[in-house]
Amino acid sequence: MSCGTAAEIQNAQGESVLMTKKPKYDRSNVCVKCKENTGNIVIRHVVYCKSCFDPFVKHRFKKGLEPFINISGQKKAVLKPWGNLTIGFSGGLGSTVLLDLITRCYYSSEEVDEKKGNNPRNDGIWKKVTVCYVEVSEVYSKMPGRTAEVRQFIQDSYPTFEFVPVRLSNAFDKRWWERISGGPLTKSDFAMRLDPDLAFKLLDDSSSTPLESLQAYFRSLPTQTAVHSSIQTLIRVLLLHIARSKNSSHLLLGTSLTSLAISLISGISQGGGYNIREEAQEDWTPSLTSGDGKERAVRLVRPLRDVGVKECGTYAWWRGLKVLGKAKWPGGRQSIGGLTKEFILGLEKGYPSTVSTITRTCAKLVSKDELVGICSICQRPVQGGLDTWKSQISIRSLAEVTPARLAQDPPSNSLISLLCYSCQGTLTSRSSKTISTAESEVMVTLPVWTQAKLVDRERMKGEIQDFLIDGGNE
Amino acid sequence: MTATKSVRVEFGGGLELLFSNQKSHKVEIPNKTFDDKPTDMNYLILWLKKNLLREREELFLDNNTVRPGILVLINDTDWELEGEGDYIVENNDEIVFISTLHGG
Repeated sequence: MSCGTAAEIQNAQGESVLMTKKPKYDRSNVCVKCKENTGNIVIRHVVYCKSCFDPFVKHRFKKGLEPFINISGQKKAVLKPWGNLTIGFSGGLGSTVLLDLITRCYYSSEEVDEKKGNNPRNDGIWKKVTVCYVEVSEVYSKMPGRTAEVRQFIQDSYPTFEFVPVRLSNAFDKRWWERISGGPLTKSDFAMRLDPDLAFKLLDDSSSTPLESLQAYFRSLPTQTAVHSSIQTLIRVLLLHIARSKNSSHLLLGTSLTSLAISLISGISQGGGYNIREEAQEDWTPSLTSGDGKERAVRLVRPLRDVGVKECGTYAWWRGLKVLGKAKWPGGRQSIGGLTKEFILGLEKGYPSTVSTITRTCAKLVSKDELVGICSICQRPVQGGLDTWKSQISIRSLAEVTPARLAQDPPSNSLISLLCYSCQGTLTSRSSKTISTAESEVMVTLPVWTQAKLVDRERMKGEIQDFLIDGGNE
Repeated sequence: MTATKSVRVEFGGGLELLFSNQKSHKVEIPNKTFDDKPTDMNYLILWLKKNLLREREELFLDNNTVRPGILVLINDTDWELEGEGDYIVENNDEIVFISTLHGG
């Protein structure tokens, strides 16, 4: 028997009676805030009227953003970020609502303190705002590009914000990288083979264009889940690099409570449990291990993480916001992300509070393993003791499970030690249906930031080469 | 008493693409169902499927009601406050369906 739905049940006498439907709200249909107006919307069993709904959303948004504006230790009454602001815009509902709220709360005369006049806190907290859109259509040959449409929308609706379009192929574009980060790369490309060792080498012939490299990379990925997960990773890292190049202290994304719950569950099911805290919020510096401490971290915040998709949709409708819509990626429904989305949306419809329970529970999780570096692809923490742990959980043939084999380090030309568990799984977990062995033999060009890491590593190796003791002479 | 009632139906959040790319529709639906019950939201949803929906039914319907992720407002009020599918549709009601499935 299901809860809260009308259903035929039998009473003690065996007669069929109709079970009454339980209302979706707790007490009466009067707004819990003003306690006067009849409610217009139910948010996780609580009723709000239209007038109280707007301040409710703004309050939730500010609560999800303002505690993270100052670097820790600073007084919270004064909001003083050290840099500019970059907003990731997908065209979707969440980022549309985010742009509107940022404008209303910090860049308009609407927020007036009734007692003190115009609130100085809201006089443009960040000096400069950049809106960045990442074009993903290059991955799919038949998908039309939307950069022009998004550019027009931003220019018309938010003329004071700078619009910066980025293409997903920029992740493989050396000229873009050198412009954005200033870090030199080798003339040839570093490429990897998507085998269990993830062997890499410097290619002799690097004549492929960034677009060709991008398409080859995605063609070689073993599953649809890996394709979608990699798109999301590349978008996030591109946005972080753009934020850094714009001297931004904060990168904001329009991830709603519902989307965050989907990302969390989907991330865990793809082996990203160690990075669960970063899924909600992260402080990112280009290289944590070799950083000299001078580089300031870009803080990625998701201010709508307490605002569900229902609130976002209703807010956008009542505010009359134009939602361009996010590009739909082919094959999305069968990926882990797509299936998780379907599950969470269904859960939210029947049991809306459970979705916020997911995010609140994940926020409490702490990993016991120490951090040993930053993943060269997704730029998130890598846990220590990964090899030992993997050897304990993997199902292997008896020949493989010898002490000698387990004690072996991965080959020196392997990317394994530079990647987190989730990225290793994304690149190597094969489905029996989706890829042929021949495709896994192809060398694919690495994203530019991964190449930069390898260049850095090779340079460091060269510097300390003379001081290394040969293992054979010990 | 007329045999039909007039209802304004609006689609938002990309849902209009399934309904001839038209956001607002003025429709006439019967006052009573075939078993002589007053027409409710459950009836209207199936009526829309039969008469206005042009493509990809699965993006609008799931188990004979709107699929998860679609918000319904009846005269600017969340349909969860009005009894959802059991709400008896009145003459000149304004019903809004908003898709939130566009992502973040």
